[in-house]
Order: sequence, then structure tokens, then C-alpha cells
Amino acid sequence: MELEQKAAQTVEKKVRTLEFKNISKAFPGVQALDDVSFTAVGGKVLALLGENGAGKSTLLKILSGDIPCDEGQILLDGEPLALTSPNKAINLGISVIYQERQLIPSMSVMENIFLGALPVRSGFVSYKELKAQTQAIIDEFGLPIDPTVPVAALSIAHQQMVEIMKAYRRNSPVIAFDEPTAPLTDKEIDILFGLIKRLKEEGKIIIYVSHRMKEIFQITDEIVVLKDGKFVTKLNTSETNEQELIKAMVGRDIGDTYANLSRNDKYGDVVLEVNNLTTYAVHDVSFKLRKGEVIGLAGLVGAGRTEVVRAIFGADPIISGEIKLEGKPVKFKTPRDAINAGIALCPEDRKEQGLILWAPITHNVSLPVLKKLKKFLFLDAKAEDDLTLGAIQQYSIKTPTLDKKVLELSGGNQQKVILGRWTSKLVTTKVLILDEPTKGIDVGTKAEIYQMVCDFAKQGIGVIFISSELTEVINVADTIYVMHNGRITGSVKREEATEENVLALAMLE
Amino acid sequence: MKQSIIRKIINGKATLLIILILIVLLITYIRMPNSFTKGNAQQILSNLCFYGMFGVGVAMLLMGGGFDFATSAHATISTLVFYKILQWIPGIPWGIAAIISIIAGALCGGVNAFLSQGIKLMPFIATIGMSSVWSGLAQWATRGQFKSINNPGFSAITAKCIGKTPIPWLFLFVIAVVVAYSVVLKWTRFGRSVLVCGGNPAAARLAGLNPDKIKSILYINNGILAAVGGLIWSSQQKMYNPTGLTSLMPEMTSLTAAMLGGVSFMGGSGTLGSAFMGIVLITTLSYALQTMQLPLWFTTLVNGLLLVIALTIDSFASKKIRKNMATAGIVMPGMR
Repeated sequence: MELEQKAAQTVEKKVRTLEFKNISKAFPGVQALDDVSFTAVGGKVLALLGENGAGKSTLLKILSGDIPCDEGQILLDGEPLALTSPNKAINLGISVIYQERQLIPSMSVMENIFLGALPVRSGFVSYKELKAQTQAIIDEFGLPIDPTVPVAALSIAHQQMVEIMKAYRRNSPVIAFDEPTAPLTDKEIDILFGLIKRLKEEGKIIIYVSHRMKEIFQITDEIVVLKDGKFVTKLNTSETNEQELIKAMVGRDIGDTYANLSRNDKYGDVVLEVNNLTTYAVHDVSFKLRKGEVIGLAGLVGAGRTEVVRAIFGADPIISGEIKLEGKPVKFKTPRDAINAGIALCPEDRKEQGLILWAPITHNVSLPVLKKLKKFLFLDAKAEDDLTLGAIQQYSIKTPTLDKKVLELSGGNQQKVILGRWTSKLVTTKVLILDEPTKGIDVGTKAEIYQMVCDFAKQGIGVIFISSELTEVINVADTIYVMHNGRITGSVKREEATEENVLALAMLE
Repeated sequence: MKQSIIRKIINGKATLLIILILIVLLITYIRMPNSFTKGNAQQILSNLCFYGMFGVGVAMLLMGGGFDFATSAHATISTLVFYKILQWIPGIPWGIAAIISIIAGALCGGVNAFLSQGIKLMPFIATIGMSSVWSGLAQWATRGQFKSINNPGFSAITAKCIGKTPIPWLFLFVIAVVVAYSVVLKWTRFGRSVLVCGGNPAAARLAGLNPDKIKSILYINNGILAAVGGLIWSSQQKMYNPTGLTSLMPEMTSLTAAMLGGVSFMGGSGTLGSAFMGIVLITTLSYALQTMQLPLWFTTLVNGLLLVIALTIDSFASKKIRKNMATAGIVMPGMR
């Protein structure tokens, strides 16, 4: 009843608009958003679509006041918004529901939903009122949640629903969802879609980010496609189809970078065999890697690619499954075991997991071979310098001195320092795992890294190449394994791989 | 490109600290010209021996990314063990009792290694808890009373000076310890591992090191050096004092000194040379304040201020690192 009245009132009002005007944002080494303009209108659900790194998350972060944009502005009903902090954005009527839940696990459902707006009576929080108001919202959603239990006690799906209720409670005119359905079961998805339809009828502006094609056609009215930080097109959902969307997301000119690669074409024996590997994050993963072969792991962020290689490397525990190195079953308890057996990992996050940032290049290169650099009791500084010099020359690392701190190097040169660590003459690498080696690196250095990958293969090393950039992974790897939701959903040879067929496997709808 | 060896041990921070020490001495000289006596010099140097031992252990642990609030409690327990052994076995050479007491210190450090690295408790809170446990035991053992230790040989180790100079022989030992640890830190695989594990344990693990093991060794080492520090103090005081060390809190002085000397609270950086210079500064300053007969509260206040200043410097240094990371083109996670 009440809702219908509300809806009737909003219909009489003029339609609200949220305009993104010439938004640009650069991070060091990457233009995340480049002059993006489009308008979302009230009463319609607008989908934001694009590959990993297309700029969707950055756009949401700017909208939520989390980060400032370099250029451009966002206007609500023609009024420019001063989105200087998340708190400001909420007060201006913008609610963004992120993938990572922003709840306080130890606090109750009601306290989370009314965080920052607890009902106060004569100076004290009125828990009675709080409970009643929360119960009203929960009833509206039709969920079996007790408002007084701590959020930590709820299932992941219900936690996500609490997050959504939190945004709903604020009654903001603009609500943005970032992949809201990822942790939800069908039942909650139905509830969520019912809610979105109602919010739509109330005239709210709804932005919906998802990788799931089916949902986009089910719930959205308009689609904005972003690609490499640029606006590609805006389409009406009813007038387009899946093929057209994927083409819009992918279509870019690949250039000669890949055609000019000098590749390895002679494979040796199987060096690494993974059978039915299962961990807390991946299920039943199997593949074979031969000497001199480059295999790619493709998939969307969170598909489980990193988790597969961490398990192989002994960094994460294995629940079941078997790993064979050169035909012999192996069990690595720690990364040290894997390194001793000839496996090397360049982790996805250089800064957090790869480098000792304020240590000099020498220390970073010699890290895994300190034992071999021992002369009597002490480290052989000269041998260490030679080792580093070797890496600097081999990969043309740009640095004035050997003992420059790695944090003073560019992203590309930092990545080369890690490559130098695993390919120096003191380590015998049989399997080299590169997890997102080109992240945040300029185009020129990327091309150098692709050639290095091919050169490693020529030396008989088996390479596992992980990348979120589809173009890159399907053009560098010989065989591409595609992952979705912790499983391998298919494999494609390079000759047959297109961004379309790989993306279809990665989204699996 | 190559730095000289002396330059490597004593980096830029040390120079600044030496200047500060000279300023302190100068002001003291202007205000109290008569205070530059042999007795005072000897007193400062023997204070340095005491704080120096603690300073090395604490600085090493900080560089490896840990901290132990129970350090002075370890020292108290060690001196208790020392006193009890002398009491139980009359005529036992003090050297043997000292070795056993140092082993006790290592065990105390080992308990904290187990709590923080073995079962992964939060080191700050767990070590505060253990500090209280050991202090309680130390007071219970003698019912809170002081016990004198009459052993001329043991007392001599801190009292004997080189010829007619005011320099105690022990001071040479402490300098040797600082130099030895500096060498270990700079030129051995273990020393390198300490800095690497303190700087980025996740990366160190993925490169095949064992950060838990390295940190555990540092906790035990801290216990050993605390025991030696405790023995030095007992030798100077000629007694077992169940509450004296914990009220002096040499670990806080060491923390301040290490941070003034450029050891980061986040681990992974610093040199022992400049950490020791920090100790020299604090020891000289507080002795100077005492000789000027300023009230005790003033010394307390100055020590507190020094700690906050050191922390501020450290915080600015880390901010600078973060800024450098941004300009180095490192995309923070989740930026896209």
C-alpha cells in the first residue's frame, strides 16, 4: 500500500538523472578511465559491462566517493556532486553495494543495517525501536533473518542481503550494485530481483555491474559497455543480444605484437601433471604441462586461477588430488619444497607478495639462493653482485646502480627483477608460474615480457601464464585453460582461441 | 657505487645522533662544567653496558618485525635463577651460574616465540601477559624482597676499568657484541633473512624462506641478551631485585633508541650501529638530566617525548615509502 503511494508520487515528479560527464582517472602506469560520459535515468536499470580492467570498479569507486577522479564530474539531476568521501556520497544520496562485504562481523544485523543512523531516544540508542525497524525491513524482503544475531553467524548469501538492506534502508535515489549475485543462491537472487524491480518502479536510479549475461538480460533496461577505460556504446537491452555485447566488450585491434613473437614449437616430455586438484577454492582441476610449453589460465577475477598455482607451489593446503613433477608424485608442504624441486612463482601482487620493496635489487634477486651464495660463514657479496648484474643485463633492467631500492624502479623493471630472481644461473627452474606478470605495466614492456615467456619455453621450461587480459593470454599461451568458479570449464588451443569463445567459457551462462 | 664499510654500519641517522649527543654534552658542560669527572664518565659507560645489551636484542627483533614487552621480565627471571643457584650450591663458580641463567633467559624468549609464531597470538598482547606472569613469579620467589649477591668475582665484571681510564672492561665486551651482531646482520644469510622477513614476510615465504623460524630465533636471542643485561645490572647493584628491572623498562628505552636510529617499527630496515647510537644519546641525556639535579618527573617526561618523536619520524618515513611506491608505478590492489 504504502509503496504504491510512494511510487505514484515519484511518477508525478520529473524523472531523475545521474550524468557521468567526461570522467578520467589515471593510476600510475594505467589509464583506468578515459573521458567516459553517459547518463543513467530514474526508473531504469543500467548495466555496466566490460572485461576485467575495463574500468567498471574504478567508476563505482569514484561514484561512492572512495577515490577522486582526475577530470570530469558526476551530476545528479543536473547538479554537480562533490563526492569527496564515502560519507559525503551517502549523504548526497548514493549507495554503492560492493562485492566485498563492508559489514562489521561481530555486530548484530540491526546494528549493521542502521550503522551511522541508530535511532536515539533521549541520548541513548533505542534497541527496541532499532529491532522493530530492522524487522520491518527484513519482513519486506521476506527473509528468515533474526535482527539480533551477529552478522558473522549468517551465511554468505544472507550477509550479502544484509548489505543490500543497509543500502535500501538509506532510501538513496542512486543505488549501484557491484556483482551482487556472486555469493547468492537462486532464492535470494529472486528476492533481490524483486527488490530491484520495486526500486525501479519507485523511480530510483539503479546501476548494475555483473559478469552474468543471463542476469543482464533478465533485469536491466540499458547497457553501457566499457573497454580499456573507454566508453564503447550504450544499448537498449531489449534491442541487443549476447553476441553483440561480447563483440563490443572485446573488439580491439591486436596489432603486430603477437605476430612478431618468436615462439617455441618443440615440446618435450610432460614436466608437470595436475590431477583432480581440490583446495578450499578450486575443485577438480586437472591439466598437463610439457617442457617448452606455455599454458594459459584464463578466467574472470575470482575464478580460482591464483589459487590453483598457489596450491601447486605449496603456499596453500591441498585437500585432495595429485601433482606429478616429471612423472613422480610430489607433495609440497611449503614454497621452499616447491622451489627445491624446480618450481618458481612470480606472484600476482608484486608489492605484497613478490618484492622486499625497501631492499636493494641485489637482495631481491638473491633471495631464493642465499644458501648457494655462502662463502664460509658469510654471504659472498661479489657473487651476489654478479648474479644481479646478470639479471640486469639479461632483461635490460633500467637502473643506475645494483643496490638501488626496488621501490624506486618502475613497475616493468620491478617485474623483471622478479623474473631475474627465478632465472638466474643458480636456480634450476623447470616450471615457471607467472601470475599476472603484466599488471600495471606499460605496453612496450608488456611486449618484452611476452617475448621472455617464449624464450623461457625455448629453454625447455614449462610456463604457466595467468592473465586477466584475454587478448594477451590467448595470444601468448599455446593452450588456454579457462576457469570459472573454481573449476576448469574448458581448454582451447591458441590457433582456435578467440576472445569470444574464451569469454563464453569464462562466463559460462 | 660502493659505500665504505664504516659508512655501511653507521648510516646517515647515526651522524645526526652523534651531533645530538655532542649538543647534550655541550649544554651539560656549559651548565655544569664541574660534572665532567672520571666517576661520571664511568657511570655513563656502565649504564651504556646495561642498556646496550637490551638494545641489541630489541633492535634485532624489531628489524625482524616483532617486539617483546616481556624483555625486562626475562631479565628479572634470569637474575632470579642466578641468585637461586648461587644460594643453593655454595661455592659454585659464578660463571656456571651465569650460563644457566642465560639459558633461562633463552627459554623465556622461547615461550614468547611459541606464543607469537607457534600458535600465532598477537605478539604485543601476549608478551604483555607473559611480562606480568614472570614478574609475579619473580616477586613470589623472594616474597618481594631484595636479596644481596655477595660475590666479589661477579661484582668485579662491571667494576674493573682498563688501567687508569674510566672505561670498564665490560664496555669493550658490549662494543664487541654490537660489532658482532652488525656483521651478522650485514654479511650473513641469517642477517639478510631477518631484514627480508621483517620487510615482507609474505614475499619471503614465497621465495622459500621460513619467517616463523627466523622470528622465533630473534625472540630467543632477545631473551638471551636480556639475561646478559640482567646479569650486568645485578653485578652493578650487587643484589637480586624482583621489581627493579621491570620498573626501569629497558625495552622501552631500547625501542626509542632503535627508532631514533632508523629501525622501523614495521620491521625490515635499520642498522645496529645507529640503534646503538640512539642508546648512547638516551643514556647520556638522562644521566645529564640527573646530574643537573632536575626532578625525576622531568626525565620521565623527556623519555616519553623522545619515544613519540621517534614514532613520528618513523611514521613520516613510512609515508614517504608509500608515496615512492605510488610514483614507482605500483598499482595498489583493487584500484581497477
